[in-house]
Amino acid sequence: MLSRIAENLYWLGRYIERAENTARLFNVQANLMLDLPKPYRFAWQSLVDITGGNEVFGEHYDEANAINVQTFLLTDMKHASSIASSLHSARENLRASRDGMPKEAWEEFNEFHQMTTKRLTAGMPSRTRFNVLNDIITGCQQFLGLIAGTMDRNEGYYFLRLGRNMERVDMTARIIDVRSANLLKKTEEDLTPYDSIQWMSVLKSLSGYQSYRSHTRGPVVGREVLRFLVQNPEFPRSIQQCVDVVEVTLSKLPNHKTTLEAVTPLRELIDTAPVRTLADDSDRLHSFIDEVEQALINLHSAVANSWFSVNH
Amino acid sequence: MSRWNNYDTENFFDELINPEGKPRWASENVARYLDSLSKEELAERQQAAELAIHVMGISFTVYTNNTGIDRDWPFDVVPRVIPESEWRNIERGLKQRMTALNMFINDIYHDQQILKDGIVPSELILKSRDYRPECRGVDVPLNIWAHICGSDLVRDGDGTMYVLEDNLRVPSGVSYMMENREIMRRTFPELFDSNDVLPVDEYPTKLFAMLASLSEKTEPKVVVLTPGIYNSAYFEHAYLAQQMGATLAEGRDMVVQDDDCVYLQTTEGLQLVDVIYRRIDDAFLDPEVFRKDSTLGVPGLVRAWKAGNVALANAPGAGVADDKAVYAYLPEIIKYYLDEEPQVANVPSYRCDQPEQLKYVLEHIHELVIKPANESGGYGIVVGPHASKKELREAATLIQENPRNFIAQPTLALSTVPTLDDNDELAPRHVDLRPFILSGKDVYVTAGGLTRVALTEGSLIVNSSQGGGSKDTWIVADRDNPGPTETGVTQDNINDDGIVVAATQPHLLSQDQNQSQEQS
Repeated sequence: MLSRIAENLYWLGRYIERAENTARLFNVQANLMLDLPKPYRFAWQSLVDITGGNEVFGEHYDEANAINVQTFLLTDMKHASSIASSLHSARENLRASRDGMPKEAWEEFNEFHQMTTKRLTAGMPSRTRFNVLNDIITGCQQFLGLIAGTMDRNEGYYFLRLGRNMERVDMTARIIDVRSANLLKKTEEDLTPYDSIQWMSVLKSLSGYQSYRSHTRGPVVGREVLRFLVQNPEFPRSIQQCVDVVEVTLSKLPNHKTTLEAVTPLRELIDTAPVRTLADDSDRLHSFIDEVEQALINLHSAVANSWFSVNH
Repeated sequence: MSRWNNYDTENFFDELINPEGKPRWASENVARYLDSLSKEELAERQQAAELAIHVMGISFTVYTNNTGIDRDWPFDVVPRVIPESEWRNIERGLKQRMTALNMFINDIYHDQQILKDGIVPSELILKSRDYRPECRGVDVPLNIWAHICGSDLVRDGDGTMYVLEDNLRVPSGVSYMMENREIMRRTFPELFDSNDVLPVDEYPTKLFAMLASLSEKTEPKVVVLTPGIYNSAYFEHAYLAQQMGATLAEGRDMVVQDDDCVYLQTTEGLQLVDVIYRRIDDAFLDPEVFRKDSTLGVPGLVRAWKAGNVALANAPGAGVADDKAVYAYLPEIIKYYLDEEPQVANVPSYRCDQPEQLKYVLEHIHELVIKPANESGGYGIVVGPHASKKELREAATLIQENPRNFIAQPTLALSTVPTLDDNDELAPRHVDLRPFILSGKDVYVTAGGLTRVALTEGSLIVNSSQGGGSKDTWIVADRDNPGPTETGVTQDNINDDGIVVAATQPHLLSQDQNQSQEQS
């Protein structure tokens, strides 16, 4: 297929997954804040850091308070990774590749995009925010379900799946990072009850609470949650599972040898992750996530070099 | 009482209803059926059609403020009906026209015999904005330059059908012609039972066969070159590529290598391209030759074309015959190359570069239509009877400054077709007609074409971006009214010499049968 279309579909997958997971990310943070005692509700800035939008945020906003961060992550078109921007970019990529897609895909996404844009720009008091974000998550899932049920298993399908799963690794890693930023210092003994509540919140944001319970008999504790999110081979949003899918998907594409090799460093990181230590040390957790992000960037470069257009 | 008794054709020629309020013979079934529907039922059909358009995703793009907005394609459910006997004459006239135009273009880029013989003034051609000296001496496959043409036809008050212009650059609209038929089949299936309507669905097959014939390979790689998703006709580019099984590509998807061959950049590496159906204007085609700032084209494309390594449809430079000033010479051009009289009329045109005709134009400017020679899409046209004194003075000045750039024509009273108005009543609205003509080893004309309708009362503007809509166009065979061809004969069983190869009941043909006949 055309390199440009392959690239469009790869990014379509990434942007949809990004929109969905930014909604999840925001929900988990908002819920964490509600669970914490008032003096500790300070961490809005960390959300901006985690989504990699520090510089843009600094240019347009004074203070990282709830309203500003909400606007920035959900509706701001100046921020390339906001939900509104991601959905817009997804639509543009879909538009450019729509002749290779099932006819219903464009219709469905267009309607979803229109509806979401309307709701996002209408302003969101916190009592409706959860529903709006939840509908965005559902809308993305519905679209991908439509694709899964109607699209030929051709190269285009695999590029879309590749983008989606690479982005999912990225976003699961970032959501774990939110937790690292909110990790409370061990010395504050009186706060330990909150510890398990917070990890539970992370699981729920990834729709993983039920799955975690069926895999782990014990209570919700940091090291087990981390083991689950990083290394579980069955949970569809675990890093391990997504990387498995990435490998299978790559093997369906033409001339995949070099890109498949580029997965190895990522795989090694996951296999050897010291979950016990990471759960207790926010700095080490943060730098582990950084390494995962870097491995992903390298993998992306390998993908781009192998298949995407050389003109731009 | 029939609703047609109240239908006022207002001294215009109505395509369906005669001045006595009676249906014309070819439209009888349609008119009777429409009459049997209540106002509410008719409005329901219109809504059903609009819903189908939305669901099918038939859209066009309006481009404002850097954002493209997709609008649903505006459509009216009342078909425009043309008797087959009349259509066969028009078809012959269009084939004649295209044959002559292609001979003309090939002559212009080779010996320029027609200029040497003084039939068409050299000045007129060599100074035309669309004359491309770069194309001089290029030998194109089959000597055809304008492979795809969309000619605009209008009918005047006395019923005469005229060719208003020939669009030889990148005419659009054919996808809507096919989609309109699909919508009608969904919303008025019962009408097709009582009428033998000539099919239009074979166009993509004909187009692909014509494009493939431009290469000597048995399975050439055919590409549709689009300016991209922001082009207003992108829907059509994608539609045609899909229907033909061709690759839809943008300029940046292709490269020309040192071997002067064109390649697609694919996930499996470079892939050789043999034929390009380009939907980009000459000027943007190749920054090495034409506009240097073009990012839509492919650097080196013209080089590859000249080397004979890729075929371009339409060929660069074909637009030279698209000029309104050339249009005015069409009768002479047909006579020169074919020694025939035009079979479909040209609108009488005054050529402002001829002093005595210029004098007439300036004296009668208030009753004429003034057209710039090389604009398309209705730009710069001044309609004398509708223009203010100031507009007429300005037009006169422009003409005197540069007479070669203008022609003038009498104002035509465009025909009408009953159309659902805002109150769900049927009222006459003005229409034109754009058939599409394919020229390759032989010449093919679509059965009918795209009928565009001005949805506003009294308006003559049919462009979809300015309040125009469209209608399905029916070429109807009628057994009781024998025309030049025998009853029950459709274009499927007439070969290109007009000889009937098989007589079949047209409406009993299935699509598969159609295809097998084509192959035989």
